[in-house]
Amino acid sequence: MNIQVITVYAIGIAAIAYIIYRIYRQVTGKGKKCNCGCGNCTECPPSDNRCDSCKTEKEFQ
Amino acid sequence: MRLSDLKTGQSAVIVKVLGHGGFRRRIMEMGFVRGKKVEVLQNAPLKDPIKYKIMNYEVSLRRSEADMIEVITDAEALNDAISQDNQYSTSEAENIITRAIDRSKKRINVALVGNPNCGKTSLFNMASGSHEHVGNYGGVTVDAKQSHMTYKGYEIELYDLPGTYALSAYTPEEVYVRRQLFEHTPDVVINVVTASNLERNLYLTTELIDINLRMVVALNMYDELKQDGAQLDHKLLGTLLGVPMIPTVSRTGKGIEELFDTVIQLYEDDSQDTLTRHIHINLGNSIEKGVAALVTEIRKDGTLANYHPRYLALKLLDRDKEIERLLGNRPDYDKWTAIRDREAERIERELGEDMETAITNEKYGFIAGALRETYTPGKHEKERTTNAIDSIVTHRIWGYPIFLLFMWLMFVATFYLGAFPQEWIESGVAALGQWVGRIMNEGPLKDLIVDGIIGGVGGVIVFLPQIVILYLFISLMEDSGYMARAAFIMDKIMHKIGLHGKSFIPLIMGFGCNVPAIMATRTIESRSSRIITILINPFMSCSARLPVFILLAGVFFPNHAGTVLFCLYLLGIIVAVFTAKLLRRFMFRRDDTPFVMELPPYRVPTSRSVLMHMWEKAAMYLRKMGGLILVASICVWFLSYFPRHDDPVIQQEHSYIGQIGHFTEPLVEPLGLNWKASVSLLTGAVAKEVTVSTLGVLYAGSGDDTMTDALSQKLTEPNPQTGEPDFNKANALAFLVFILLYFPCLASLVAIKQEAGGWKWAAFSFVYNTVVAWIIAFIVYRIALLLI
Repeated sequence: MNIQVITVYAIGIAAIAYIIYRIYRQVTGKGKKCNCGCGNCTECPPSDNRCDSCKTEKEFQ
Repeated sequence: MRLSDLKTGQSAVIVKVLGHGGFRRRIMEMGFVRGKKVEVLQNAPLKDPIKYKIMNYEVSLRRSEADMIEVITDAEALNDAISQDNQYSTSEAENIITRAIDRSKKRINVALVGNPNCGKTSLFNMASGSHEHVGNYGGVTVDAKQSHMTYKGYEIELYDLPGTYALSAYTPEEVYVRRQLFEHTPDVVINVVTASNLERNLYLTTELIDINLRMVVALNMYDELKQDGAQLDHKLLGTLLGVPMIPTVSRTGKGIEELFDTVIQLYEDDSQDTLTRHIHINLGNSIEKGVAALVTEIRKDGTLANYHPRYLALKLLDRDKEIERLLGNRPDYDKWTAIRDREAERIERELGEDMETAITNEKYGFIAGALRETYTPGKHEKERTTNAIDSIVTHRIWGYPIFLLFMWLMFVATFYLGAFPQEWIESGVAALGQWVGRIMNEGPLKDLIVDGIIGGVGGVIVFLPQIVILYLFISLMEDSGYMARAAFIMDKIMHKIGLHGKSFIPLIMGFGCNVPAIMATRTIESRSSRIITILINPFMSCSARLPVFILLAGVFFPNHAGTVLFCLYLLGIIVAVFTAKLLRRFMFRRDDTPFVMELPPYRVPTSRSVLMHMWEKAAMYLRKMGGLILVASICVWFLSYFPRHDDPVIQQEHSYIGQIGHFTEPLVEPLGLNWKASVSLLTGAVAKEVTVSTLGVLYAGSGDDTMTDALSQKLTEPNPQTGEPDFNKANALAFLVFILLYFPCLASLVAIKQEAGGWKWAAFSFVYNTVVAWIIAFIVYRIALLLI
């Protein structure tokens, strides 16, 4: 396998792992920073107090 | 932290004493003042009371009282100093606490309280620079929103609470706001009042006066009062109510500075005027006698630090369930209820009406008297204009066709106006694909970037203009007040299906995103109505489905694309109505809750609010493109690229995703769809936009001409294996209907599980929606085959 194939494999597997992680996070609620439920949150800063994606107020877990 | 949070042996310095009136004065007289060190000596066996040492003497406080004292520990002060200064040195150690206290004393917690649609969120946004969603109808804010602002050296934490008409325990919003006020004890409350509708708005003011909070009234939308020719002596009104009143126009920011100057004055207790004082609204001899009897007894308890005795007495007389629960464990509760029962019976006998009516009437009597002294009504021109427009748009016959006409115009305009910038972006995406294709060497990395990333993300990003335009129309309808009329005319239909107007707001929100819409159902009191509203919400077509609709409607129905969009949304509403009716008939007993939908006056939407709304949605869409859609596109490309096959024509067929697609293909074959469509439907579970990016990846990598054509053109090109295009008018229609109705995305399913209280409802939604989608898509496909 050449370097391009290895790179593409690494990117593809990382992307699949990320999607599986997101699904796991949404379904189980584990690892989430807020429980707004939208699953798109990247951060819920305390100063803002809201999910940065769906704008719903979160409760920290 | 609060004093009650300290453990035995810990010490801290007092920052401020919360609360108000007699309690605050008494605590401060005992030595609990800013800057004094306090140490926890002992927690009583049942953790109440707690023994403290302050100024070298021992004193015991109840936990509820200690909860009203804000303190700072050495560790907190040190962290604060480091985070603020970044140049902390040990030589300054002795100053750390003083500086931390100085900073803390300049922190003010301010709560915005007011009736629904009085402009609290507009004021909140204008003051703090936030971008919370506002609309010219009540119920937009369902939780407390928090924002931070710095003003004249003060750090102000601003809390925007949901709109409420009173502080009784009738609706969840009322209970929520009341808890926020009592449990979070804001330093100052801004009571936002619609200046042009004083009589009703001031009722909540009288409730807040009973609680005895430090309060300023913002007479919002004061420009409307002036335009109407009305006159208000707001200083005199403020004197009568014992509360400073500041005219404001939150849309333009007028009066906001004066409002926050007053907040600071109240916080620092250095108000120069003499009007700020706690008044007792006289409720007449009969009620006052009963209140006095209860107040005398409640005062003896002394443990209810953050509740004013008069407020508790009034709520006890009113038989407020929440207050009864709160006081239920007090030793004298039985004695209080005995007095209450005796006094309530006497009052009801004397006045000839029940307690609730008697108190409400007396309060409105007080408001009417205060307004007679201070307010001269205007010409009511705005009211006349509003009535004239309402006579048409809420007409019992014409109201419905007008509503449908507006909706149709919205979708037609969204499609046609968005087509121009869409073409530009499409050209840009194609040019980018060609350029990258030219500069990169052949190989899998080039294929990943061109077919996977540019093909996938580029296929979705081209619909940004339509999303923005759709939100322009939704913003205009919300801010002008038309959306409230839409809810009003729909109320009759909602009642017919066993729901009420309150369910309409979450359904309307569902056109944006189903997740916050499902969460907004929390304000519906009845559990059965709430679950029905949750379950029918995914049929409201969210904006994530719009790219699929525009893509296929634009390709296969170019001359009637707007009408197709309109019909799809309408079909979603019809299926939702039908589902609600079924659920009501077979699963839930009917339980009507009375609900009055307020019709606000029509207002010209401000460009700031509309642009902000559009920008928010565009930014969110772009963030999603750069995150989830990008990763999902890479996934789909990877699964369609490997394992490699010598024949490029059947490469995808033999890929991982091709195998998955062929496995699920039999399920969608009766709808005229192939394995590529079945895969894109599956990936839509992650987010509905991924459906388009999947099609983008699969069709970008299917031919030799990578990225020379837009996805819309590739869909009409013949499949090299069958010689026919994969999509035609009939199966495109079936695909559209299936996308509209099939299982919600994962985020929505999780929201359903959370709000409905279990996975069984999420599973029900998944199965029911998919079965309904399949049946209707099948019917549509068969009819389309006959007609087209």
